Amino acid sequence: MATTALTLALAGNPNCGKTTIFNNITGARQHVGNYPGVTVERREGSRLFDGRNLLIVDLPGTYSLTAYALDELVARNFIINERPDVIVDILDASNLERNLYLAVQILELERPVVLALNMADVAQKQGLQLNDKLLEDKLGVPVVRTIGSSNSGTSELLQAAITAAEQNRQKPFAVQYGPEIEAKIADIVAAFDDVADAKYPLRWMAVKLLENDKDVIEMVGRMVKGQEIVALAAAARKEVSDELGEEIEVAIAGYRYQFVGGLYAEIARSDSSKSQSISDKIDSILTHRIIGLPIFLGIMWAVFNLVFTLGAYPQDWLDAGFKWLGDVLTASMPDGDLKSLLVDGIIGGVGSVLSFVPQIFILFFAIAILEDSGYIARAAFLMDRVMKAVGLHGKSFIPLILGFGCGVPAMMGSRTLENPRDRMVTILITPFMSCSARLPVYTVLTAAFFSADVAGTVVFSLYCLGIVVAILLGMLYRKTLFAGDIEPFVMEMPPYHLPTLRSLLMHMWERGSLYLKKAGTIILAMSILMWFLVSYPSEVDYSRDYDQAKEETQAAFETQVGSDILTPLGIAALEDNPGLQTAISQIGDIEKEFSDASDAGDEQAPEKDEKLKAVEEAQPDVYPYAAHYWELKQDMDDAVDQLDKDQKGEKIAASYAGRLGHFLEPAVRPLGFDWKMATSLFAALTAKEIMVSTLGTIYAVGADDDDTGAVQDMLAADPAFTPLIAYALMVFVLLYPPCIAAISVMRRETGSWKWTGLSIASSIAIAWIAAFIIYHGGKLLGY
Amino acid sequence: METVVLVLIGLTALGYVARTFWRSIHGKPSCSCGSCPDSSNSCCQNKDRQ
Repeated sequence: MATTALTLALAGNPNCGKTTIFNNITGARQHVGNYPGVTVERREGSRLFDGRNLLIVDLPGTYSLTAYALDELVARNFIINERPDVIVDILDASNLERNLYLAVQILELERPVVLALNMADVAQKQGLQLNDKLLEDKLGVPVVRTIGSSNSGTSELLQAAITAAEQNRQKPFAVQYGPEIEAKIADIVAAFDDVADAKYPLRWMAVKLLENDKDVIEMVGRMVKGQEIVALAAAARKEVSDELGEEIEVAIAGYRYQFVGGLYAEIARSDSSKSQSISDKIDSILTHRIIGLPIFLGIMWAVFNLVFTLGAYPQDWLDAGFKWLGDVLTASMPDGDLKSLLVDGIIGGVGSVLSFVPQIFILFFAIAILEDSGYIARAAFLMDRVMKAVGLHGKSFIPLILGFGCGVPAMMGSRTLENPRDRMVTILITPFMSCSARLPVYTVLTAAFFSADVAGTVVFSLYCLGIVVAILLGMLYRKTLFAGDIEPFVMEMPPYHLPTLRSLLMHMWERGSLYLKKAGTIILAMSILMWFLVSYPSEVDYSRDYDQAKEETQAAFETQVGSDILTPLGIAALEDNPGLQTAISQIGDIEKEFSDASDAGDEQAPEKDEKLKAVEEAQPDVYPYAAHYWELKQDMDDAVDQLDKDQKGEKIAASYAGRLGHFLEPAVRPLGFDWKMATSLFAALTAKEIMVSTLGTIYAVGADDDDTGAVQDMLAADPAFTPLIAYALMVFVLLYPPCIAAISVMRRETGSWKWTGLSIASSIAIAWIAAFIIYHGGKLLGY
Repeated sequence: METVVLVLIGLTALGYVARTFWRSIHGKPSCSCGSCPDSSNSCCQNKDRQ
């Protein structure tokens, strides 16, 4: 069947539900949030509807077509330059008057337009009655009611859009701008009559020239006789401004608001008894001048505690699962490098990262609740006072909060900032916000060195430190490299929504799945590389002959057994005394049983003593010799274990990873870090989770086969670590440069390696100084 | 045989990491799809529209 291709542009104010409608039409799952600025670049999707192949373009939200911020420019350029077949202007029915301002400007472009009255249910709940028919008649374009959240009205909207596109009616639409401005518009339109290549409605271009729109001035200037028209417009602008006593842009905006106000008064009826909405009542508490900020901090503290307490259980199950998998492979594969790669490299590395999936998913679920409910916008409002005090823009806080999830969309989110200086500063400080990739590092180190009661608070302190450093550095940038006036903070407070479970799970999955994807790609690849670096070269010149040392230990044990046990009993070998052999075997069983129980954290000393006493009563003559034999054997086993550990330690230290770590160690030694930490910090520049997988691989390769466990347990057993060093290490991880993906996006968004380089250099310096202060300050305080 | 398998795994991992670095540094500047690269016909999938 033949199909017609049509392009539909979805335009509208920020947070009016464009992306929800885009998802409803295309079946895509683009991120949706209950705050302005979620979409910062255009997104495209397709849909076959009623025999037409539709290309749907979701544009960033914009309040007007005189673009100031980058995201607004993207929307405006598409509407104006790419001329879609139909523009679907999504209007938030619960905020219709303000949304109509953009609608009027779109209508002035004289393109086929359909208006979607979205969130019609919210408007109804607010007691707002809208006369759609009258709105249609007044504006001369179709109006369709939609409810994005329940996918209601989508088909009707598409049908209306197709009809409008195919009729291609370019009906003139004009707002009356008063006699002074209208006279100048007429002059400029008349001047355009001599110009053959005008692609846009002449009246629209005349208004834009009077509004001093730089893009339109440039465009007209390139036309034949264009410079004359630009000069005419400039003179007219000055003349009208003098006459009216205000800037002409302000006067034009005033007339538009007047038009919109009059239109709204005709089509809308409001039930005044519902004038204070539930959102207003909630806001009176959550955005309160005094208690608002403590409530915000309390919510963040609760989120991190929830992540730790709730996430600990599934994490233990996953740890046990990976240990079981490692044990199965260990038992079923022949010894060799391939087995070590699978068990120590891949399971030890990737497994240690995957075991934090529950915490990551819980964090994203909590962030999704804050986003979908509309609280994120309030957080920005609350932080505005703090941000403004240090010279930053309140709106910067939204990208910063997004940075808790991932720095990449956070830096892109800074496109919502109108002022380039604010935008640049926000991009440069975003990496200090603790992204979710750092969470596994915090979880491992807090689980190893801090009690479960304080784990959430320790991590909360790191998140707060990140915010404080970001704000202080932003203040420094704003006073030096990016000095300038602070612009007023204007941001729409979206109404509170009760998030649906489906939407929360969808948001959690869309971000959490990226973590899983990373584990299966870059983290897997880096774990394999780290295993090679830790395991090779396989031939090492040891400081001593460990095999000979083990033989000497064994020989010393046998000599001691002969002199202390065999000679006094008058026998040549243990087998010569069956009673002694039985007692040794029984004591061994008891020691093993209680050693396992002790590993599991059970204290059963009295029970053990009772069992040993029973053996003593059964074999009173030989029991002291059997007990002494067991002591000697344990001493020998410990000595051989120590030799094994020393040998493996020397082997890893001589490995390529060890050499890299030792090369880097002098730089981090003043912070209390050893070569293993240095190596893992270096590897984690690829992605922060790789710090955990690298430590997992280093410790797994360095451990005995029966001694591997969760990476936090192996870290806790390493004397190189203390709680103070662990905290300094976490601070270093928080503040040192972000992953390669974030660095790449920073370069794209700042458009220069100069600023990216400055960010990398400053974050290394700040991380080093902060870790140094914490380590040495902590030592001075006796930690 | 084991050595051959190890070498192949190692080279694949090294190649992937190198490719990731290269694309991060020299990637096209205009198309950043953030956390949603897989939506239908998005700019990340539709490179020629960038």
